[in-house]
Amino acid sequence: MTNATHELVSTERFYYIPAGREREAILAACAGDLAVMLTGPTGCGKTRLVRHITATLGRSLVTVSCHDELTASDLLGRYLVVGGDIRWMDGPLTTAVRQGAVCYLDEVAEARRDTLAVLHSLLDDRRELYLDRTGETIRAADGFALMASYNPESRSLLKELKPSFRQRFVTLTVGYLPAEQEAEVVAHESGVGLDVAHRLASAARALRRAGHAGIEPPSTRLLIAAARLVVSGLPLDTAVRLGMVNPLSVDGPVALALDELLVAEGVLDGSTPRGGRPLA
Amino acid sequence: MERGLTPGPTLAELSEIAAVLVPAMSDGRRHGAQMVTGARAAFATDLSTVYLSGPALVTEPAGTPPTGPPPIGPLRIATAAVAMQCSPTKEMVVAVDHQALTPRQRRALRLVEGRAALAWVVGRWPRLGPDLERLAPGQSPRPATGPEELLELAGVLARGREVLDVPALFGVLPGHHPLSGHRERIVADGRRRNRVPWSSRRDLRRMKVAMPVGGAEGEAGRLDRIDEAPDAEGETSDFDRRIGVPYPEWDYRLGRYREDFVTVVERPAAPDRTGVTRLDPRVRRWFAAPHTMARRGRLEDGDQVDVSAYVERYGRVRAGEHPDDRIYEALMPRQRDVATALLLDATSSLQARGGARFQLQLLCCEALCAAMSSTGERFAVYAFTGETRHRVEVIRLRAFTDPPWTLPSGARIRPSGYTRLGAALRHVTARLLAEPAERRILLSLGDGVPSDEGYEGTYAEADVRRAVDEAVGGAVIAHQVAVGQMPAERLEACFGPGRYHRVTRADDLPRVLSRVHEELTGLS
Repeated sequence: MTNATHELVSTERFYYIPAGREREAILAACAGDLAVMLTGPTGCGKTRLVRHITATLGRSLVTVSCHDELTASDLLGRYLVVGGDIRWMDGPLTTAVRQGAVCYLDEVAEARRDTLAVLHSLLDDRRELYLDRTGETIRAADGFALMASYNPESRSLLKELKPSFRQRFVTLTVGYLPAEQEAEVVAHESGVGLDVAHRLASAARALRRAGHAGIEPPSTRLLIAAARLVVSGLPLDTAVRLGMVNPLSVDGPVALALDELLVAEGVLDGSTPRGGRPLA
Repeated sequence: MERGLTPGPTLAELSEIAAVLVPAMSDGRRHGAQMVTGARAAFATDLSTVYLSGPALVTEPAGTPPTGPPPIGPLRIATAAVAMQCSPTKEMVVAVDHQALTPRQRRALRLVEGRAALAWVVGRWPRLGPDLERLAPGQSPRPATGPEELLELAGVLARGREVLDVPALFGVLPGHHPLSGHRERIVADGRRRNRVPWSSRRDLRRMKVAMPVGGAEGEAGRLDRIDEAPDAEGETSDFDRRIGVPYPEWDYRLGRYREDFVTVVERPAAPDRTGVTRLDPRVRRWFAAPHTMARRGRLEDGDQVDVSAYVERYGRVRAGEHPDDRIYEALMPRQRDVATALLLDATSSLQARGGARFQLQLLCCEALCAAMSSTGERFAVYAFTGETRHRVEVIRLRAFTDPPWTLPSGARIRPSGYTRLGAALRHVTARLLAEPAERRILLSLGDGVPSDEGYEGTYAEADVRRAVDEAVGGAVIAHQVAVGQMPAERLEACFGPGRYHRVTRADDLPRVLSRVHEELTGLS
């Protein structure tokens, strides 16, 4: 239960720029009581999209970060000793089902299959949750919605979601924003000027091409980190290296190659080569 | 940045840098980079690998004034050359018949193509413009839409009176470049062994023909090539006493197996008893990482309370029952009953650089074996090579029954021969299935490119896929760690989705291999 966060209804509409019609798609799925699966690369805005939708719907959000030790009772709940008594304590999923909140399973592919099996009865027309410990059957309250996300690229080997599980979701592929809109997001989130944001976005575009060489693409999150470094007064060159290049690679030749890509793209100034080793 | 003058990257580093730049700048149309040296070295590409001329990177380009801007460093020259070789104009000229052109026409075509490539590069990366201008002085970008336009422009240029000097940056055209190293080695290997060529008319560049001269079935006359006595030492079953073990091969064209088509001979490698490991500590580090851990509850001691156990105990105490004090949970090494077979590719494709890649495979294997020994796993190591379907050799570097700490790296194997992967996979699968274990893992290492007489392209891929499916059907977890430039689509065709992992840079092998193994064994 340590990995669940519970957000109350927030009046703030989370800043979100739609890349396509994904917002309408999710709202339609929610209206039809369908579960939604978001797939996309790291840091492309899956979680942000979920928070934005939840805020739009005016519901509360329960987020569970999945990992391979997550057990069914971490989701459903367990008995606890309270004072001199043993009392049942709802888990995050049970809470969401009872209250009609949105339950968001982040990185769902990391969870073990036997853990995910408890979701099955929720995901078909029954929309019920069985608590085997208490013998209780809970009907999902109005407003309950299940959303999940995973990154098909970084998904670990063979840890694939079972087709029977995937088929219970409406699946939406989320990608990185186009450079123009990504720059707007970076400018909004970091407070950096639009011109710098545009340069960072084109840096990201150049670095994502290196995905063909097996290098993890930089996330929008990294761009924002680099932009915040610029806001805090670091020169753009250093900020890009610290915030975007070094997190993708630590060893010399790869970092040099990424530098070269950025020089060719016109983001870095080629006349100040990096030192023998990456800047601390 | 702190130092004023840093030494430029070495050629080896440049080669690694280019290995990243090439796929990135070509959007995946090219896959790798190779450094070439020698008098005839030139920038070139075969549309898969980009060849970088070492001499052209380190020498100053002609025409750099002694005063003025500082010289362009080798790194920037490499970037510019990679960008030029990634140009889609290379694809345009590949179909041109260079034999039909005069030397002057060829030079003209190189110039025209180079200018078109310049236009593509400058359009994409304007920042490289000034550097390109200095590296190819006097050449201006001139875009072209297709091969016809390029040939027409080249014709006009050739008919003129201009002196045609091609800058080193433009390199030589694809199709004009000698065969790639791998194919060349295979051809040379065949010649050395006095082999019948694969075909009387062959075109290795386009890989059109891959049938022996006498036809696919006409190889019976060469059965006498099995001149070594097969090893039967330590083997008791009649099955193994025969000269080699027959295996079927899947023929996708017929839609059925060819029964007893391939002969696999298993022999042990001469053991090396010096007991000295040449394991690089940096390689070992990857494998010495903690083993997969799992949280186990209901223990007498641990790092935290097992809540369910505690609640149960509480209830029992209240009810007056005898309490069970095992209420802690802790992270413990996962217990596993796993048999792992490693299959190494010891064929001539790994001969490059004096077998350095093969040595790295062996060393990683050794590190992996050391890790598996320490967790009490059972494992075996095989390497395979072969010559035609009549002799696929599987060399046993370590058997399941060998004592722990018998490590394979001492074996003196020189990579040579051909890759009939399907048969080798079938053989190792059979060995694995004979081993009692809860989970069986077949981890195969190599470039994943099948090649043997009559064993190439779709036929070979279909057979490998079949062999993998057979292994999976036998509940063996089969996984390929593909070293080299094989494109992902073909690997997927061979091994199936999620059953392979690509390693494009040799240095990544230890990291990837250790992770793959950890995931395969730790799979819950």
